[in-house]
Amino acid sequence: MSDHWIIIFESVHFVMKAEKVLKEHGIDVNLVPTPRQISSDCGVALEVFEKKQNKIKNILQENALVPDGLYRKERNEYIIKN
Amino acid sequence: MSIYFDNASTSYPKPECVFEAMKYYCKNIGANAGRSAHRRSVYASKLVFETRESIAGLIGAKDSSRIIFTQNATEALNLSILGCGLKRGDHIITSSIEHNSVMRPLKFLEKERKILVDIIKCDKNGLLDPSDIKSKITKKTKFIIINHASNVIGTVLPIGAIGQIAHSHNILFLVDAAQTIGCMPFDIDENHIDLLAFSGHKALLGPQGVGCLYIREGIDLNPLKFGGTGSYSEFEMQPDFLPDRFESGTLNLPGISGLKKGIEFIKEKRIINIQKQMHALTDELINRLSKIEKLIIYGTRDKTLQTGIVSLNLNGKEPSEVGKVLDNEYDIAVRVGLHCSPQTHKTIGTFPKGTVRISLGLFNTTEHIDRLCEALCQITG
Ligand SMILES: Cc1ncc(COP(=O)(O)O)c(C=O)c1O
Repeated sequence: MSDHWIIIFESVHFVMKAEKVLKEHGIDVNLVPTPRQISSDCGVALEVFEKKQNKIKNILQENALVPDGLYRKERNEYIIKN
Repeated sequence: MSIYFDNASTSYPKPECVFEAMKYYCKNIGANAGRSAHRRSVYASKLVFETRESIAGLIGAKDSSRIIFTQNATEALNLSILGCGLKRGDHIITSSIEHNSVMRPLKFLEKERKILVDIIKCDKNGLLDPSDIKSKITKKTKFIIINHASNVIGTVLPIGAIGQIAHSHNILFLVDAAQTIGCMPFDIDENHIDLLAFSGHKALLGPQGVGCLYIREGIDLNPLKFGGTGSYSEFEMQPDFLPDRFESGTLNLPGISGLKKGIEFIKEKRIINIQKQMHALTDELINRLSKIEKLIIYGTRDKTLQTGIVSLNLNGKEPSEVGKVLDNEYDIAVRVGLHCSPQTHKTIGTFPKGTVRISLGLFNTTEHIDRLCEALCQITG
């Protein structure tokens, strides 16, 4: 089963860019409100369903995208993984 | 039939898809970008992102976060000139055919911060010898600012050679591409451009109210505006990452939706084909005007050296009078006077009266040129 990830970026620009490139690699990705536990900002985050953390990391890296935070959702908690 | 020859000021008409997109946005979306996570806001954020990507593709920028939306080219130029931290004694080189949106901020800094400005004289056709720039460079030279093409006579300046000079001397290079973006292909890397300013409402066919500044990676400017960006709201300091750093406040989303479609329209036509079309029309215009007696044409008269702008005067007639008659009696819109660039008119010898400027756009035809030439023949008598 895939893990459930939440990724946030400094600017919404990079959220949109990351969504685009992850989708291009066939990864299951959605735009969601940033969970309050992660940030008090009212912005958008990426929700990603993928087994391998490295796959996500590599795609982002190849596209010069540096997440502000990469979290794995475990029950109702968000565990920082970057 | 109403004829529009003022495309260097702003293009008209715009393609149908441009104002349809604006209407769609206003009617059905409405929300702000980058401020919320509801679907309308996400739509808006995506629209802004996609427009940035499209512009990046147009100029050859690899990272679209380096494209900043401004109100117009003037704001993009001001942000570059006022924001790059020029200090007392710093030396700037520019040309004698710049627009007031470059000359005025430079004059302000000359007075307020005691920077030194060297204005390189172009010849009477607006041509500039890059070695004249090179010979003015000193240890204090921090900035070279050049427009890609004159908005009065259309002369295209050799930005490739000037960029090479700037690059080899480690001098910041700003290009004002207000008159060339969308009507001739060029690349920021090939021309060593550090900062590129342009309007969305001229040959990109967008509506008024959106301009752009490209900022090369590694170049740090101070913002002109500080405020809400939707990011890092808990911090009181302005973000230091792009594009947020320079985009405080609500963006012009109806304008950006229109611009996106305008760019799609020209990309579909391909800029290289647009350039060919404009070359042919410019050639036709110059040839036809050359046959009119008592008519003086300024500039290179060579389609390969200029854009679709031709400045002229009728012997013994005030430009303003000619403009009025063309508008009132022939329904032909041109721009007369100094065109926000007194420097250029001093260079070509038409200051302070100015000229009658015919500026072609994508939707002008040879029939329009026929009508103009007939009118001018009648006016000269
Ligand atoms: C060469 C040049 N620079 C700057 C500008 C200013 O553009 P904007 O009106 O979009 O600020 C113009 C056009 O008006 C122009 O022709």
